[in-house]
Amino acid sequence: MFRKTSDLPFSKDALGWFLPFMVMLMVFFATLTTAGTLSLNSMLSRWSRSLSGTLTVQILPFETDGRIDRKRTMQEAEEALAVLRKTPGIASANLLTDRQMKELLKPWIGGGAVLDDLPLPYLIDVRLMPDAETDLDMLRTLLKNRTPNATMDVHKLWLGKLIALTRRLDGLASLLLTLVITSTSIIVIYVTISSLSVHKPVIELLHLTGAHDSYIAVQYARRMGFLAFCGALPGFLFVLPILMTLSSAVAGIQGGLLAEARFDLAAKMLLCMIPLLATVLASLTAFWTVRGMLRRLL
Amino acid sequence: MTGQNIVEFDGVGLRYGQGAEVLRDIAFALPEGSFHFLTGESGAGKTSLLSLLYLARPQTRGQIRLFGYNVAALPRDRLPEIRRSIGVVFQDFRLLDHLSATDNVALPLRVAGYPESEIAKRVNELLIWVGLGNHLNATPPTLSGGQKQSVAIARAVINRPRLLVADEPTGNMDDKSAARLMRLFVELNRRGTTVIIATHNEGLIRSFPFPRLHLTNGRLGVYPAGAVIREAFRV
Repeated sequence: MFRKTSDLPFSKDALGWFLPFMVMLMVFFATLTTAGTLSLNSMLSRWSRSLSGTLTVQILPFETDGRIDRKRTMQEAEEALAVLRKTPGIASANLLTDRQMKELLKPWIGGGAVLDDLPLPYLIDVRLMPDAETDLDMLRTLLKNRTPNATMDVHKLWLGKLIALTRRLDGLASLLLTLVITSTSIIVIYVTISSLSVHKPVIELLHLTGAHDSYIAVQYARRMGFLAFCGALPGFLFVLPILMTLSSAVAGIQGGLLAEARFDLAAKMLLCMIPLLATVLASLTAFWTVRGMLRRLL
Repeated sequence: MTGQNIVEFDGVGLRYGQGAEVLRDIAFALPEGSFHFLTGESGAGKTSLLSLLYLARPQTRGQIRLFGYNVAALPRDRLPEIRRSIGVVFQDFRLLDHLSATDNVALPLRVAGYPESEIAKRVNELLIWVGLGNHLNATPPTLSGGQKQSVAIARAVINRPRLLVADEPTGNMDDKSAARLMRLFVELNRRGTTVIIATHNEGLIRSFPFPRLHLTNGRLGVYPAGAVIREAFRV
């Protein structure tokens, strides 16, 4: 017999359905930004884990009379191996076999006879001891002196640049999320104040029948929360096909770099929380706006 | 059956904005359990005086004490508690058009946090008593003027208020309905509710011999039941 309806005739609010539309856009951008940030950080963390404490020494192929001298190149590689194995702080140094090299290059170049014809360098995979303070500059000089065709690639350099880039992108994402949260709050405040003005006679009646400000504020919190959820859910659902498309596109790229960008359970849960967080944000903003505005009345 | 004063006005004045005072030096007291009519010509300030009584606005000077509290000195969050002890029948009913008769009458109980089971029981009983048993789910726009007035009265008394303030409650009623409504007010008064009714209906005043507060140009005179109001009082 008793309708579960609000004491305030919210259906008469002209701006009522403006809120879900705006929240839908905000949640769409927030979810996309958060997903981007999470995948970037996940990728970086995987790279960082797999590359920290390693370095690669490359022996470029020697040419004698315009032809690749594989024997000489191999001698240089063995020389470099000997230097590395004697250097304090190095846990292991292993020369990659031809088969391992081909496997490594297969995703980029393809298999078959092409690889046999290419002048491939020799690669030495070097693992550093944890916490060992190896003087890498001295090692580079030593290698250069003993094996002129050797180059040393310390992953720290490009990893460091990648980390710096990721941090900047993280900062940008945080700024964007702050803007989204602020904009959503401002929209909710605007819609709430406008609604309070429309329903002033009803609010006065509620006060005269003995309603506390919080009784009215709770009704606004429910209404704005409902409207926000009506927008947040589609906003979130619209992002999902985009994320799935991007994910499958990335998975299609072979080579082991981008394919590692995956969401773990915590990241998935955080993404799913975004529509709920938007709903809670709208509810709380409406609640405190109403409390603040009504405090000025008798 | 009257006791200590539950309403006390002392030197009360009211003005809207920078305009002239619409109420001047109002001083009177309503003992608990009393019944008064408030009379005066249109524009004399009856509705303004009632609005001070049900705390719709603050006075601009003087002191108002309700149920022993100086209301001007009370913090804002204490006012709802005072307002819940006052039932108001507004001249224009002030019903919520989007709510059913049941939900309109239930409003003061919901606001006070009563459980829904008790609200349903009390509201049903009262609506049947005021003759709206067949209109429980009707919204105000579908009700006649008299039926709306009945809903407004039911909403005012559902919470068993200590003070009932009614502004022209019989305005839209024929004499028979008006007399029936007055009997309801008298019955409420007999059970302890203090009643003050603003009315123009001289026949009603003659039929129910209660003391009278009479407003003339913003000033108030208090008269015993059956007293003839002197024209000389008019300024």
